[in-house]
Amino acid sequence: MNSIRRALNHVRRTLIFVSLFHVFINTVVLFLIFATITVFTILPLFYATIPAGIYFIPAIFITYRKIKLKDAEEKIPDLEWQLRTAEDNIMKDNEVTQSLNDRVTAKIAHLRSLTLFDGKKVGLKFFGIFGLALLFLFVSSSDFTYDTLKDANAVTGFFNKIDDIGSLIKAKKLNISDSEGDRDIYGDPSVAQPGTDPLLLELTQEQSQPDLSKINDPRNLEFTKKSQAEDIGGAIADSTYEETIKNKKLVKKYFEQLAGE
Amino acid sequence: MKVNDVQESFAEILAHASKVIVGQEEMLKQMITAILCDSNVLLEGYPGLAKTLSIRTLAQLMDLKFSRIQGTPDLMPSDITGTYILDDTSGKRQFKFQQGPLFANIVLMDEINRATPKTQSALLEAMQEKQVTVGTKTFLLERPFFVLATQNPIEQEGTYPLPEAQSDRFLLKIKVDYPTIEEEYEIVDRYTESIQIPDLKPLLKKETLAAMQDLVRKVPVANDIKRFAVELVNKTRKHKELIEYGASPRASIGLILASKARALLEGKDYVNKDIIKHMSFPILRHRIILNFEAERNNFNEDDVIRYLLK
Repeated sequence: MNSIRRALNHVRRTLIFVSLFHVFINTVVLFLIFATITVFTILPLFYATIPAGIYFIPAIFITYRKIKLKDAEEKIPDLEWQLRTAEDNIMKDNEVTQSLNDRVTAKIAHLRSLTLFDGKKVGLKFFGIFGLALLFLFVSSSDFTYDTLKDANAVTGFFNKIDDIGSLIKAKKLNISDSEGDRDIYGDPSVAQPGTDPLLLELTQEQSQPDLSKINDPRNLEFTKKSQAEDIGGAIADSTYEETIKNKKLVKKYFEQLAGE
Repeated sequence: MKVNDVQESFAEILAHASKVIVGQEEMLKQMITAILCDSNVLLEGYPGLAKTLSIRTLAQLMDLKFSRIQGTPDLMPSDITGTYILDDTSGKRQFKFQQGPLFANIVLMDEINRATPKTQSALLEAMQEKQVTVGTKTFLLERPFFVLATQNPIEQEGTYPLPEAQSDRFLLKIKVDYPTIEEEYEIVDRYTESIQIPDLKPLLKKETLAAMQDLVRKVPVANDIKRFAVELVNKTRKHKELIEYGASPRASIGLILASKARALLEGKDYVNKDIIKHMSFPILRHRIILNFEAERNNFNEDDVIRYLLK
């Protein structure tokens, strides 16, 4: 009985190790994603640990509580239903249970952590970590930040366009809260605020038809011989040029001297 | 006794039985399952499908006393249980109990639905209590005691179909199918050349069989498996759109017990879900009554069980 108990504990420990390893890998992936974002947005790297920590701590407890022998059976079809049967009947002592326990113990003796790893899944995660690490290194070494993208605005005008669209939306939005003290910068809120009463518009055929009685008779237009514009008179100096300058002669002489005349 | 001993013993029995019976391996395995559970079987199949021959062969191979009763409308309970007869061989007249065909290890009740309900009840009492009461005296039946009753699905006129409460006492209802073309070819070949049935020697002692029956109950079952079996039986009571009357808790007991025996027969010391699914058909098919809607859609009991298993 003790041997099967030890064997089942060994399976459970292996499952815990495998599950925690997965949680750890997921945390690393999450950290790298957020670390890249923090470098990109010039935030302290410390912020990347927050989402990773938020995931890691509850995930450990949830994973630990979720661990079942069924998970091991799914990885090793040769042990299907046997681990659970042995665990549920651990207190029974007869020849059939003993036979099951002996066989399960013998099979578990060869159980390694690697057997319970999903190679494809782990490989994919490692590949993801490698990719994210490369991205993180690139972003952190090349000073490629959000500001860099903003500077590229001059070339692409991308951010300008976004700003334009943003201000357009803002302008149309009649935000009542945009006020300076008690005075609303967009005017009287009661006027600016759209009403809720439905506006009834009716178009009838009669109204849209022209009233023939109001149409004037055609009149003959007389065209004069002169097609050129009439003389508008001589040029008159603008009053702005008629400045009264004191000591006009002295000033004139001064400017002439400056001009070297 | 070890788990492998059971498998090896019955593998040998099946191999010897195949000298007499062509095919029908699943039917034989289910019969053995019922014998291992110390329970009874209702066999349904058309005439000429080796039902009687199969059970007679198994009795021979297991060194069990075999008797056969033909169900007829005039069969009386005393015809099967036995009766008191006047005996004057010793010069002194006295009533002596003459044992009926029920005093055997394996009883084949052919066409049980042709016997009157009174006789059916006498048989079912013997099945359940493993004893027979005649007059004021009760006689214990020899163990192992196994009843195999057959029913013919055709020619229902003049029959007394088993009430649901009584058919529930049978652990399994085995449906016997026609043999395949190849099997039938071999049957023809084997039984038209010689009329001599191969001589079969007993391979199993009664004591060994009793030890195997004890072993069946010791097979461990996972809690998830028990839950699956109980939920399956419970489903028969909930699916009112197809089933008018579902199976009783006796079906849950039977399903687990039969699965344990089947696991042992396959050399397994645990029960898995496949075994439960496999055994759910013979366990449940006579314990559920389909409603009109199911019958209108041409569903039989096996179709409904298959639907419940999905």
